Amino acid sequence: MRNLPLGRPYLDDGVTPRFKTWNDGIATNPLSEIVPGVYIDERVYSRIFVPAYFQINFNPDLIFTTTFGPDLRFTRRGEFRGEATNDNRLGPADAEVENVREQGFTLENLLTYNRNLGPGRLKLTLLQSIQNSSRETSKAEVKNLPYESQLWYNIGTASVKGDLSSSISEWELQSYMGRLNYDIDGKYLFQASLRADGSSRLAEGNKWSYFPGVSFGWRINEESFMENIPFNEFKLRFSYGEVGNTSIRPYVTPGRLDRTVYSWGGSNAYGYRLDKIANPDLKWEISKTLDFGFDFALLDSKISGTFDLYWTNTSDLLLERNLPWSSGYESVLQNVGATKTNGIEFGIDAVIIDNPEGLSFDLNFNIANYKEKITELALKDDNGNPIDDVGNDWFIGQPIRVFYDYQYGGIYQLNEVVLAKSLEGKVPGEIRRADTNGDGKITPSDRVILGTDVPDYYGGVTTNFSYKNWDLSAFFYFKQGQMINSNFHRGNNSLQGRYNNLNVDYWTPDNPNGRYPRPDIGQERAKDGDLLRYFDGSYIKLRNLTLGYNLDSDVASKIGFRSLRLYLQGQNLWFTSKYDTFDPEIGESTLGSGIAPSSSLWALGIKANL
Amino acid sequence: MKNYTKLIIPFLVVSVFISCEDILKEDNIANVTESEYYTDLAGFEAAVNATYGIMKEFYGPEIGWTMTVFGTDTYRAGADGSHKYMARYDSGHNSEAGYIRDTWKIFYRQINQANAVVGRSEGIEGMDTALKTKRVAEARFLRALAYFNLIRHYGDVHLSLEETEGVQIEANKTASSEIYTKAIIPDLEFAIANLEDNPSDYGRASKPAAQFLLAKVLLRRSYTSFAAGDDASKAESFMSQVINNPRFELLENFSDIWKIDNEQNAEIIWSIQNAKSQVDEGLDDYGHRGHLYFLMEYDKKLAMTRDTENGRPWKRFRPTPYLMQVWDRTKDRRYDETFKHVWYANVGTVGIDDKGDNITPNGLPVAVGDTALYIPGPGLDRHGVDQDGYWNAAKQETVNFQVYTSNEWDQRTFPSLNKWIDPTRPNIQHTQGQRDFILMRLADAYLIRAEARLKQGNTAAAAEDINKIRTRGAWDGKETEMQITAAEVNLDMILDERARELVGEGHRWYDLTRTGTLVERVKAHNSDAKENIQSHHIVRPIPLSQIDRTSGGYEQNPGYAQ
Repeated sequence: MRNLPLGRPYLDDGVTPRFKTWNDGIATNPLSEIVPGVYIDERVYSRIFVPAYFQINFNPDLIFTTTFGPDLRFTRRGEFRGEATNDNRLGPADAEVENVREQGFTLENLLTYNRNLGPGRLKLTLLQSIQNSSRETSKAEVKNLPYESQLWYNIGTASVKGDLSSSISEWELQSYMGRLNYDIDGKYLFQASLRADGSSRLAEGNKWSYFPGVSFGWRINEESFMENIPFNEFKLRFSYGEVGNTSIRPYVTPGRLDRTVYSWGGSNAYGYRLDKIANPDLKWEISKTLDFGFDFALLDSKISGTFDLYWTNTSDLLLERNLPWSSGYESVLQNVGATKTNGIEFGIDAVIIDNPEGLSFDLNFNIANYKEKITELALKDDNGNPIDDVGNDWFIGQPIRVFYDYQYGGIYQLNEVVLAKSLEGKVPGEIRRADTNGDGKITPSDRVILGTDVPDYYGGVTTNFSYKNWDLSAFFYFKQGQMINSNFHRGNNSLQGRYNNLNVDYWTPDNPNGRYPRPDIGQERAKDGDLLRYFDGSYIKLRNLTLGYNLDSDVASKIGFRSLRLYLQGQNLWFTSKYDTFDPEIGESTLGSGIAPSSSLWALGIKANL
Repeated sequence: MKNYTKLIIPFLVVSVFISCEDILKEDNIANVTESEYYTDLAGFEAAVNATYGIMKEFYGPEIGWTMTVFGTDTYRAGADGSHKYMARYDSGHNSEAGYIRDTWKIFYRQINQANAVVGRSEGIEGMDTALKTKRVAEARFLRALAYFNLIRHYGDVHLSLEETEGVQIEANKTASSEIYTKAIIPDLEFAIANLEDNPSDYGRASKPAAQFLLAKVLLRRSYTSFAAGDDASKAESFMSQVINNPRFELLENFSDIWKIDNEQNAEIIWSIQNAKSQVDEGLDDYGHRGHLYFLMEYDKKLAMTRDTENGRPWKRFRPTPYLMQVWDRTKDRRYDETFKHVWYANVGTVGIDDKGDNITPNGLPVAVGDTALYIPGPGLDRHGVDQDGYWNAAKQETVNFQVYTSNEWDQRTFPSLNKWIDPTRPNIQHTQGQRDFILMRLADAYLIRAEARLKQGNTAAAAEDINKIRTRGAWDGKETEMQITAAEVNLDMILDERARELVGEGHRWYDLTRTGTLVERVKAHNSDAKENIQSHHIVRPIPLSQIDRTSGGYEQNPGYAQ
């Protein structure tokens, strides 16, 4: 994509790719890499997953179940880069081969006991489980292969072959859980549970934590005083629960040394430097959620829906925290603070036309939003109140992930030579940063929170039409109000002229209203061009569209099937977004510069029952 | 029911057995931690080696070159590169600039490592005391070097002589005068007292390296407002100890210093080590990359393509007109032995223009091995012939190669420094070079001593030192003409001589800031930066990430946006 459009991709025969489409030291032709055998990246996955299950019914009310799920995966990745690749640029070929062995298991012992007690039915559940994972890797990278045809199958013959690596990473999670359900005629539903989880990844003494939960449901429509309401179901729900998060990489608590390279007159002198500080206090991140909601159904359940309100307090957030460089360390994984989140979710299902002989039409719609606020941070003022942690872009009252930067303030115009120079040492045509605090200077205190990755709302719409043997369903998804950080625009919008560029409205003296700065061959990136990589990431997209045809059962049975369905399915067929480059759903809040846009996919399928 | 009980017991036993607390213990097989490794001789040696290893992130890669070559009177920006703000002192030269942050980061990491070596040495059991003292002296030498680099770049900085324990979010801003007296000078005095003259491991810190560094440190302080009265004389005497050390002598031929198979020569006092096996095999990400940055775009010229021998031309550093006139080429051999003149055709008879069409110079045939490209260099050549005049347009049209005279030089085409060329790299794409980074060599020692002598008014002795260097730099038979007199010695002359001898060796920005001549010389000689440079540019801004991450903030340097 960065290839200059003026380049010539092929030799005079019009078929063979030229290695350089134009004369530039680092310009290579992607077409020459897709010639078979020039660049090979082969990944082979093998997986053995054999869950075993063992159940003892002591009596109909007392059941013991053991589930054991060993999971073994092997991955082999072989990479070969020939001479005519961007990596080697006609230098000798190189190759690497990596083997990864992942083994893990889950073991669950479950004992359930049911009995009638008083007016209702009691169910007791006891669970013990272990989840274990181990990942081993080994990798060899070599350069200067003597002949290309070997790919990565004889790397010992390469003349440069010292780059070897291997690793192991293991973790385990253990849980005990007890749960009690009590159900009176399906009208009053009560549940209480307590679990204890232990994680190998946390510090000694903090590995275990207890997580209680209670919930209560009330089918209010079954009460006599509700007989006259139009609902055929109305259930109130209430729950409170605590859950823990320990999804961090293993071996954080003991700290780590990192290997360094040196030599004494050519003989190796490897060393180990301080890299990560030990954190002997690392503990569970705990989220406590209170949820209130109801389910309802109307008009013979033709319309049904759910509604939830929830409040979550998360404490001891596990986050990588940046440290001042003067400490000699870069960051530490810590329990750094707390957030409060509250949200609302609503969903409705409606059967609008229900005619099995003719046209049927139903619709599902759901929508949700949440607000996230940081309430505690490690930094405190003299009175012990939490204060903003600018070095980590964490701000009290804001979500965890915000975009904190200067604000784009337009382009310096031709009549602003003096201003451009005095304010920022720039020239007309370059980006002006906004003086947000109005002090007449551009300083780091002009940085502001530009946006967050938390959407205003998100949800989906599903529609199903059917007419006789035909059916058509569509699933739309929408997410509105979140900001994305598009490194794609950073990487492909250098405005240098050495590479191809995104087609943007750039400034010239004749186009003073251009939003992007003037092109400049003298710099690899526009000054403060990064300010133009924040976008409103709102989108609506058609994720899935399916058209199906069901053969009549008598027709199907004639050709030997109990039923036969033909369908055409499309994925990612359409989207609309203010971020117009490509479907913004591809990444998370930060889109990488070399990211491949999501692909539209058509599939033709047959589903048959014999 | 009873039958089942027998079945269930083994399950429960198995479950209980494998779920005791022990199994949640992390077994950190692949990695080591300081608490278990920095405890014995092997671990302690690894900690010392790491103190050396960290500084390679600065010396060798683009950052170290950029921070010392750019923004001076000798070099300005070539066509490529993302760090031209260092050359131009423009809006990109701010507290958020990548190299300004990374320089700070690398040396604090090295300091913390050195602090760990010094602090933990007490607790290392079963280690010979003399060896331990020597290693501590090495760590203190490296710590002094790191602090010296920090104050040279940033002025007043955070000072800590203890290893960071736990999460440290406080930082102090200590006056550089105190950093001299509390850290750099005592560390180097300890190093001089305890290091060997000639360590058996080539590349370890040595007594003469510490003497050399202390001389440079004291000379620098002699220019400051907090100078001690005897700084210059002590600088002279430490440098004299280096110069009188029988281990070192000036090589007879200037160009022999840059021979890649002659790295451990008698002129080298101390160099940062790179090993060919480590850089070639991809084990070392911080090899010597000086071979990349000083080269012009020869590979787009007719009959030329990139090859390993000629190097990967990243065209970062382009000489200023000042640098190009600093040698008198009729008597001084050092221009001709510092820059490359001729490139030989390596792609047969044709070149390719931007449209991909074949062309040859002046339509004349070229064969592989013929001269393809010639940079005659500035002014008069060795024989007194004016190069721009000789290679005039008419003359250029008669030859089957391309010639670029000084008026034809630009951001892509300019004289290319050949001190760091590395044709031994395993392939053309390989960026890590095997050369050692020469931090201290004897010619520099003479010039530093000359400056220290000038500082004391002893121009006669200064002239002696300078003439030592100039005699070696003369063409055969021109030695007498190269001599200077005591009357000619002044600071400008020494700075010019340092440019002639040490250009491209990573000293210039320090030389100009030491002598307080940065602003005036940049304004006079560097067209890239002269409009932008201001008095506060004699130190870099404190990185914004340091300010943002420090509890209560951290004071920005004067003149930079707080």
